Amino acid sequence: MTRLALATRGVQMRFGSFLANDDVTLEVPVGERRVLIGPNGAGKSTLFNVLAGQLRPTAGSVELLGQDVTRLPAHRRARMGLARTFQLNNLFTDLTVRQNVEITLASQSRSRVVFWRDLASVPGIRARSDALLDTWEFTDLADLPVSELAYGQQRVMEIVLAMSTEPQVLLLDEPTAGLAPADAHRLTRLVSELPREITIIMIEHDMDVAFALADRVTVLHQGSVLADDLPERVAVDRSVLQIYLGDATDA
Amino acid sequence: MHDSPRDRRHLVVPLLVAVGLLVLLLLPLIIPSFYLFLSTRILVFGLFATAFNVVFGYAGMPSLGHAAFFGAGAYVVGLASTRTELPFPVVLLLALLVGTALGVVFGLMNLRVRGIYLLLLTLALAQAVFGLAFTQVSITGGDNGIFGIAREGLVPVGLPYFYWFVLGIVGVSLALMWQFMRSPVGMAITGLRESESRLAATGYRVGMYRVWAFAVSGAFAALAGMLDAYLVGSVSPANLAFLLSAEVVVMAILGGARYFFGPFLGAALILGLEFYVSTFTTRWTIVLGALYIVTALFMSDGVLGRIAHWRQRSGQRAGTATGPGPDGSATSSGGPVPDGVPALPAGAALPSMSGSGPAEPTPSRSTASARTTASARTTEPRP
Repeated sequence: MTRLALATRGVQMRFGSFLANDDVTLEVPVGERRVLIGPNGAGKSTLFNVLAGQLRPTAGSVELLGQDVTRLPAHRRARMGLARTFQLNNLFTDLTVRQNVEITLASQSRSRVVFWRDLASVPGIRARSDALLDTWEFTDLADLPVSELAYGQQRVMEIVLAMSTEPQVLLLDEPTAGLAPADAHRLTRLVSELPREITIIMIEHDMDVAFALADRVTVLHQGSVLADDLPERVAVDRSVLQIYLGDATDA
Repeated sequence: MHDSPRDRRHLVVPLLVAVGLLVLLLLPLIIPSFYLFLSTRILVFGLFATAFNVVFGYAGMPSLGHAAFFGAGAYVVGLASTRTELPFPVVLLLALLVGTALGVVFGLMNLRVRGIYLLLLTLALAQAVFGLAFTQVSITGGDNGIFGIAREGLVPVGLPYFYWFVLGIVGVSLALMWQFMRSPVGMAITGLRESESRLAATGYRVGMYRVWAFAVSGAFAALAGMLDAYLVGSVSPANLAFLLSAEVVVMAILGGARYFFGPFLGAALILGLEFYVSTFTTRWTIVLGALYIVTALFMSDGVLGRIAHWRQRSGQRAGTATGPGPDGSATSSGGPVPDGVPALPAGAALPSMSGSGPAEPTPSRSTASARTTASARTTEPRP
């Protein structure tokens, strides 16, 4: 049996009378690249918040790397090796690029409770942030506040921060949202070049991107799983085409 | 070899700090004792405002209850010096302890509230502390407070000695807070203001850092209250009152809550203005109110924020790129790089990735493509 990186069983997320997710069961094996698609309001981002621990499901369970994490808050899951990006840029905008990276690095060890010395002087932090900034080609922007970066660069920063915790499972919430096609293409290439051993679950609206990256595609519709299959099979699935293109009889 | 502006900054800043410290040290020999009293008050309230700003400006939590910490510190002195023979170091420790404990209580009680609700809850908690001091007449003296707090045994008699004493404590406290804010915990507290959800997703337990912020803020605010009690020689419920909580908010905003020394500057401006205005009229609070409105309307980023804004604008007009951060901590890249020129040859950057952990993306990108992305990035227009 393959090891599962992330799994949900019968997840339900209810806000008052609104059912954002219902009976969502997912199994993502280690190393898989799963793309979540679905029309607006299908419950993709809500499911992401349930997976990452921002929301606690009203029913069902979530397993991360074989451990039940349904009741674990976001920061505990992050320490277990889960990292996420946000659909809307969610960075420490007034801090510099380097500070963003170093805060993220410090979160992964007991360094996060150090209060008597500079963040930058904590052993290993500066060397690791230098290396990361170098890898991601942010070295020449290191001392700029994130708010002064171009929008596309901030999108990349989301991924840089997620990757700097050396995650085993990476959740990408529409990494190309709001990007011009050329930038979206560049970012997609960045994602495709991430190490294969990292399990990636990604929400994506662009079908070309989704089908190019995915090992497997899950289609959400009205909060539930409509299809869960190989990309080439989903692409020709009648019910999927129906929700995206409308009922053929309507035309 | 000519000095770049950055190199000169490295010399100028310590020099200015040294001159400033020297002036502060020699102040008692220069100015008359009445102004010395005002200066001591400015130091005390500067400490209070800086402590307040850990919660307000750094953690982004609008507290309207900070008089509770200040007053608690003052009452510790009042009770200890009139009812016990405790030596000063013990009183100091007690004040810190009470401030920290009260801060933890405030932090825990405010874990689930944000924004305006946090403001109301901190106000309510502070009013509870105020009510306690007001009604427990047998202990606190009620409305009258506690009189006759003596400085004997603390320092030699005379305001100059007390001024130096306060200067020392305030200086050490500011240095400790400065260092704290630069530490991982302090940076995480700053992260609270920027984005709690990002902080949690990164692996920080958000609630813990909220309590941390209140605890540190409470400890130093209590220290300020302690110094105030020694300076004035009495304690009353006014040290716990809403007006003081509001005043410290104005101090922080007026000086610039985004800057470490902003609140201190705000305290100096407000106390200086209060001193000046009260030679004309007794209705100081009206002036304070007007100042509050003007600050809110025209200077929500404070005096330091305005100065930074003007400097940035004049810098842009002069056609030079503005420097990165106010702390000038650039070491690796040496500041802004001319547009279109990558700081490092992109090809040279790639081999250094190997061996620095599994977090790296596979270095399969060609040198050529890496170079184009790097240069494309640096030529993108910046806002």
